[in-house]
Amino acid sequence: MLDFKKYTQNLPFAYDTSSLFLPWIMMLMVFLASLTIAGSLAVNNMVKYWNSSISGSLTVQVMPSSVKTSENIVDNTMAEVDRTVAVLKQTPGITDVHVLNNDEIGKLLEPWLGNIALHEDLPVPRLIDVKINIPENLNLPKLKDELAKYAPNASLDVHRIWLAKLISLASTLKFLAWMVLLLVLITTAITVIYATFTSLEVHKPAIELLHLIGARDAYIALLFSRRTLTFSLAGAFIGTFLALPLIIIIGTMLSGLQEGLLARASLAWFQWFFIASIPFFAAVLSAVTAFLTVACQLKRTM
Amino acid sequence: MQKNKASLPNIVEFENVGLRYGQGPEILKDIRFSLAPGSFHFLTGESGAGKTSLLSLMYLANSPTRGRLSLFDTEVNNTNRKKFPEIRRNIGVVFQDFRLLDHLTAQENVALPLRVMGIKELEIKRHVNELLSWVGLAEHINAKPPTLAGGQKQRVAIARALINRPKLLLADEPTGNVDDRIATRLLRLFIELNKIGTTVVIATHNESLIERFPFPRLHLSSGRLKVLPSSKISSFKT
Repeated sequence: MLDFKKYTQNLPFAYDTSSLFLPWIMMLMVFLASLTIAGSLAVNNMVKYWNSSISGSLTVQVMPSSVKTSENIVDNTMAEVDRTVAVLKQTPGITDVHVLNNDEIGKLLEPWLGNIALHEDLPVPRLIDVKINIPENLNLPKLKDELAKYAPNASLDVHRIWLAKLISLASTLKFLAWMVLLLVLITTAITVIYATFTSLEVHKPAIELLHLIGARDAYIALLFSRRTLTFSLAGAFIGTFLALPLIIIIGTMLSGLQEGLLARASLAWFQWFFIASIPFFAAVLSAVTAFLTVACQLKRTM
Repeated sequence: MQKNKASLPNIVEFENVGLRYGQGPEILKDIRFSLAPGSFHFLTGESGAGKTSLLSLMYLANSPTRGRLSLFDTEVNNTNRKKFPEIRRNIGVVFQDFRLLDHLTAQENVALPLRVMGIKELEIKRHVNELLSWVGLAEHINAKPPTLAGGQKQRVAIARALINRPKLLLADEPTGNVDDRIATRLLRLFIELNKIGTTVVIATHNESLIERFPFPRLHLSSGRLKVLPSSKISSFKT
């Protein structure tokens, strides 16, 4: 009986071993692509988080200081904190000024000193968390001058400076990830082109026959692209199937770091959806590559 | 040439056509002839005279290296190759070596020309089975070419050439692998097709067949073509 669903059988692909390696290559490529894309998206998410949570703030650090009176030495730190707060509140662009209490400072020092209560007498720097409305509106040199004048022991810690370095590093990582992805795409395309060329050579007599009985180039190209699509889908699904658990494991490990720098490296639901759709993109890309390869090659024939 | 049906344009026209492969010698030289719609010709000549090459020009497997070739009133030399499939769909070819696809059944082989044309499958099935019965292969529709005898393969090839009701049928030594009885039967089949308007060209060595079916001859010798009229056509009966 005629099996009309098996149009690709019009060429004897079942006897053609030239493309049997294609699913394996696709599996590896999609595995790499999935990891690369997941990594790039995670870095992107982190940068966004850093930007939104840190670039709109700065920290003022007031070092412990004391003044010598005629009778004794008096702690001047809190007085300087008050003057710093006054200066900050008068500075345009600053929306909120919050002096960290001992508990909050203790939490920050916890990774180094452990879970200990800070003693009142322990000379630790006082920290002031400052929220900025629009970072560009803040005149930092002027603020520095003002602080030097009224609170010489206060120093500005502008997150934007080190954040810019981190973002630059993250951007480099993202760029590298996209380069890897580009290489993966190019390698996949070259592999498909090579496999298609070999297959075209194997089926040359049958293709010539199809031409002579009136087949258009597109008809023949479609036979090849359907076959490539089938092979690629099979390999690509396995590649994604292998990559997904790895991405989940790495994501879980990162989320375990809690509020560290690598926190928020998790993926949104639509990003998971995007990764899950990689096999389809890869298979379609392969099928289109095969189609174009055959179409270009057939143009050279009669 | 044979009877010109009304004033219809010629199916095939060769004008000073030459053909050479690569830098080799000219295989066909100054070929000049035309085929009227509904004509029947034998193509004769010694082995290597260029019969297959001449046929290959007519089924667009090769293009002339010089001269003008026109098929169905379309000048091949000036035609975009995108239009070739349309022209080829009007031509049925029975190749000397059959060129059947071994991995397909007889039914699927015959169905190929219709499949590439995008005909609906149910329609294809009906036509294919009908034609295979007509050529006496109803019992072998699911047989693959390697399991068929030479004559059966030939009939599959003929059925494939006829399935899309071509206006021009080209057959390269269609009786080469069969005995005289089957050869005569095949010739009668071609004549039947010719009667319903198909232009037929049959390349053959079989002199006895040519004697019995005295149609005009296109005779090739050393790459040059002579058109020999039929001497017995008036007394010929099928």
